[in-house]
Amino acid sequence: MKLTAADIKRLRWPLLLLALAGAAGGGGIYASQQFALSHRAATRTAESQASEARNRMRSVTSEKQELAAVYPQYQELAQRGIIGAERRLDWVETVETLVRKHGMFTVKYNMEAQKPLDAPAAAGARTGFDINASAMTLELTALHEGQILDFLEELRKASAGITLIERCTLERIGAGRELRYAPQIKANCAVTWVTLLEKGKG
Amino acid sequence: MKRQFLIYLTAEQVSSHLWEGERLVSERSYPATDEGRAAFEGFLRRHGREPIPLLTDLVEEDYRFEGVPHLVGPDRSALFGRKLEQYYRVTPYRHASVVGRDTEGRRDDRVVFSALTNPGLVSPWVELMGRAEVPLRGVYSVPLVSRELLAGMRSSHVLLLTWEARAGLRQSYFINNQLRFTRLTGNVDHDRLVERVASETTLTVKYLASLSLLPTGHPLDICILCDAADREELRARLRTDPALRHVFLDLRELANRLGYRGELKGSDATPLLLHALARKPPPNQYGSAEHIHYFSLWRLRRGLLALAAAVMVATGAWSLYQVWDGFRLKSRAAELTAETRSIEDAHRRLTADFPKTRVSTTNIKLGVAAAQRLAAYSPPPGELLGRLSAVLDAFPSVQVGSLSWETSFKPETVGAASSAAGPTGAPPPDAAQPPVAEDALPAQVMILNGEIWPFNGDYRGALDLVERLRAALARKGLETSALKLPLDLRPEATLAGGADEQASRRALFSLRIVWRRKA
Repeated sequence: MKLTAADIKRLRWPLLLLALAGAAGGGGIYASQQFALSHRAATRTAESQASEARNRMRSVTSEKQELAAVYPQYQELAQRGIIGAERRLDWVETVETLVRKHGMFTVKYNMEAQKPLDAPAAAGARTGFDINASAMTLELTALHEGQILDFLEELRKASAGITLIERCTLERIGAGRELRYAPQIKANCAVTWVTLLEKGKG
Repeated sequence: MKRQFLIYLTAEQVSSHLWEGERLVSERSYPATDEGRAAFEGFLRRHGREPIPLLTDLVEEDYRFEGVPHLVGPDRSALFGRKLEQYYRVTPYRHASVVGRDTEGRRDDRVVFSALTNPGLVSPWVELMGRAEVPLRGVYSVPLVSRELLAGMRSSHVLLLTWEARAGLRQSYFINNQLRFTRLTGNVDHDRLVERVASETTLTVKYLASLSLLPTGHPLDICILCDAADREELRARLRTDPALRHVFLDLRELANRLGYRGELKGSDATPLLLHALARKPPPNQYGSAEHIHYFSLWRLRRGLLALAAAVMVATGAWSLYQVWDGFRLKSRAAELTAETRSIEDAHRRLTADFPKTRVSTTNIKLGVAAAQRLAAYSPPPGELLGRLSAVLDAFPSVQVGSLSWETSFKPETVGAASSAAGPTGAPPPDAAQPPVAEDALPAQVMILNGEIWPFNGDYRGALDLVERLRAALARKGLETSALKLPLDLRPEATLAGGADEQASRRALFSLRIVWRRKA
């Protein structure tokens, strides 16, 4: 079929209608797609927010359970002075008490300035805590080894902080085979006193 | 309700018929005069917007049957065009159709070439239709349409007789439902119909016999379409012949079968032919592309409108779906927002019960874990000394001179030289050493300096005693290494002594004792 210009003119209304239908349809599709797209984006955002909220809730629930298990221990550590500022006066008083209790002949101690602790076990906690160590030396004389060991054990338990006995040398200073009330054993110990301080509380 | 106009053309006149509701409701005739043509043009201008078929009922219609090579596509069209040009040069109203194919030989196509051979009877009317821009659906002839009337006939050879009041008596011969011959006898009045049927069929049968087109082995079925009155008269009049079998098709019964609900006058088959054409128009027969140009345009216009409607429906449906989806998503977003709000409320309530501390739970856990690990660095010294005492009790001749212990991650270095361990026994940074795990515990290392007392100069015995002591310590889970023995027997060491010095000799030794603990 050959179409002439006159034929095209005869077909102008259907062609125009087709063009209008195409334009209206295209416009409708574009507008409806924009409408759907905007709500799709809003839904995606809402889904993401809901998912984040669910994750936060899961995390908080689990955190609460963990906290219920660990917080009493934390409080206990704080009460024992392990977590908190170093209490040197308490420590001196503890040493004096223990010397009297265990009948030590002499006690000399020398505590150095506090420094950050360099130990593998401290690595993980450094984000939340300043882990400090005060190195000290203890020189003790006693009648027998048992006194020194008991003294050190009680010092470990009673002091406000973690008392790490790094090194100790026991040396016999008496003849050892005589029966008289005099120092028989001399101990030289290196002790590290560790405390944890929440960051920002210093 | 379907409604359309049809044009019926005979040699003398043209008539327009309105077909509506399965019946012909009105008709108007236009004689082949100037007045008639003017009236016809007026009719076309008023009613010629919808497609109109033109049914011709003319004597001047010719059919030729020929076998042609089997071709397809443009080759076939070209061949048919050449044949039509050769047979019917003078008329544009021509047609070719394949009605079968030979079963043997070259398997040629059997083709019917036909034409309205007197274009002068048709062209004036068709030109008027063209001038009025009427969508002429097609130019058809009565024999083509009359095939519809034979639907249901089982006979292979049928001579169909129809009487059209305006045209005359039409005889169409079908073999296997394909038209092979047609003849119109004009000017046959109803009064002379019976007489002419009898005489004309005799002539036609003779003609068919001369062409060897009659069936062999069974009689020829002569189907006569008429009403009940004419049937009785014809039955009485037609001669009986064993080679012929007269079958009377009742006009009204056929009208019922075809669904025609209009009025029928006598045996006139014209209404049924027009009804058959209106109800199921066959493809255009004789109209050229130029003749049916406005019909093609009409179809194109309808196609464009249908396409526009389809576009509207499709895009509308898609848009509606998108809008529905948008509302669904909006509702889902609202649900999710409500859910988020509810979770956040629950979150707030839960966190309100948390201990008032600035330290995060993670840090609390880390702090507790670090404190526990650090506390385990230094076990009570009595624990290791207790193990040692239990062993030494079994060795009364071993006198402890001095004892030292320390915690160290590198116990093998303790006592060897001056220890480089830092606080808590952490080794100094050393690229060759793998990093110490966070949960690793330092070993407890003890340096025992002792003496075998009393000693009588029996070095072999002293060395044996030290070895036994080491074995006993190993049984308690303690590793030992000798730093010094009563007599240094290493080849690289300097060995000095004398028999007269026995009284001043001492059996001194030094052991490194390591206790490794697991985290």
